[in-house]
Amino acid sequence: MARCNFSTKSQSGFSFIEAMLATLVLGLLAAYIFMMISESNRGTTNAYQQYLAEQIAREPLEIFRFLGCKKVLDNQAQGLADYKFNEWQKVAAISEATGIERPDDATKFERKITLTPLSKDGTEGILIQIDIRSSAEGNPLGFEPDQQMSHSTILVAQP
Amino acid sequence: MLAVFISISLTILSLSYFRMMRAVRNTDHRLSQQFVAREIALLIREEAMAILQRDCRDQRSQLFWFILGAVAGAQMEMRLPFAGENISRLIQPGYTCEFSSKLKVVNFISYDHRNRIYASPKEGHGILTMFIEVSLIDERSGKKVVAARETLHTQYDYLVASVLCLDNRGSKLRKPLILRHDNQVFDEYSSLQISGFNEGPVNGNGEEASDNEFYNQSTLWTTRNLRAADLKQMQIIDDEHKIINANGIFHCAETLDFAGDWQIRGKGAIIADSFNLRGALKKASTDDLLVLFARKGKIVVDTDAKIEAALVAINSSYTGTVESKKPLDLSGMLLADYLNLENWSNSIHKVDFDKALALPDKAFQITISPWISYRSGARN
Repeated sequence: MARCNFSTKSQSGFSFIEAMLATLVLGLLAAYIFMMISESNRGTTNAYQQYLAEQIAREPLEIFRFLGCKKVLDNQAQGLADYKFNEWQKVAAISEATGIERPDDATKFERKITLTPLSKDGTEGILIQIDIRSSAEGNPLGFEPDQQMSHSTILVAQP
Repeated sequence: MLAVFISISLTILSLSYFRMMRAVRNTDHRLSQQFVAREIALLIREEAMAILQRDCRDQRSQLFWFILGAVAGAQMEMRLPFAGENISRLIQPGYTCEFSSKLKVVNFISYDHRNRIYASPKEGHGILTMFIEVSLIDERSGKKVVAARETLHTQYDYLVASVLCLDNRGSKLRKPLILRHDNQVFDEYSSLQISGFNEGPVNGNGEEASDNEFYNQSTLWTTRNLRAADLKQMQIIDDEHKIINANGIFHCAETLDFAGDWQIRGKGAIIADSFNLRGALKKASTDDLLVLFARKGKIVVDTDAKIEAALVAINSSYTGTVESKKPLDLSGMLLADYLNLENWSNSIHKVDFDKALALPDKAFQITISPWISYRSGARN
């Protein structure tokens, strides 16, 4: 008659519960890392779009500062080069009037330049406000349709 | 035990991530506030520059007298009403702005490149520095925290010169008639009648013989070797409005022709090869002053309208002269190498001395280095 030999001595290894716990931890860590990578990618894209929007906003400010306040004031009715005032305008990849080249992604934005003449004690100036928003067709990542970026400066007229 | 370890690790990771994102947001915010502070500093500099350019031509301004008598190290705080009123348009709600704009004289020398000392110690060349400081204060939390700070240092050359040629006795144009080469005297029976002068002989002929150089220190000239077109582009000669806006001494290496009636604004001297005057030259106010100096040819006056300027026609060959083809009505003074009244029209000519030409202290002009912009081009 055959004899069965059941040993009661414990064996080394992971229990089922330990293995499940380890899997859970690894799963959580993996999910966390994926989330961080995803956030990081989104952050990088956001930063690029923000940077682009900043550049599109600053471009006319820099140009107008070099042209001078009087030149801007003299042209506030008809616009200056291809910058139109007080209306939303699509940003082109290449400006025909100035020759300025912009990245293709710049066309996903619209820009509005608002001018307000100022005067105090014989000193004349002009407030220039630049608003940037995403265009209707292209909605750049990180730039919501109702979100706007604004930059302002004031130029003073030479005596 | 393992669960505790995992919890702690996840908490640490989460906190690190949270802190990193907060730091990124803070950096973005700080950079945007820095941009605002920079724009405010540029606005302040533009207004300060506008005031500097304007007040340097205005003898009633505090700034004019500060610069005129300043020695190295002198400084003054500039008042900027335009910036004070409009800075709030650039900053976000919850923020305030503190700023200051100080003007300081770095140095001032009253001699030229050959160490020749100018006639007046007030004349000379200097360097001004403008120091602008802007602090953007975040008051959203109830406490004042500096969100961004921006400083701008800008230096400007400046020139102080009298538009009247000076010597140690004051203006060299202090007599109504000076003939440098010819000691001809015009008495009361002559066709040239002189009035408005009661301080000795009207002729300064012999008196000036020992020092007969006029406007010879070209380092005091505001600009040199301009063309007539340059004077028009710089609006010194405003052809459209018929205004002469001379503030300082300007040299043009061409003949200048003034047709029609002109208005004189500012205190200035225009040095050119020769002049043709075919209309009135009238001062906009009694403070204004104009000297026309023909350095190579002559000054031809072809009008009987009033000329309110000093006419100077002298050169190294002693052939400088003034001719009037119509009855001369001059309110100013006349300086030439010689006069030949036979070449003048056969009528009575009047020279009424302008006493402003004898007041050197009122003829100082301060020229600040130009405000350069892309549009202003090489000269402004």
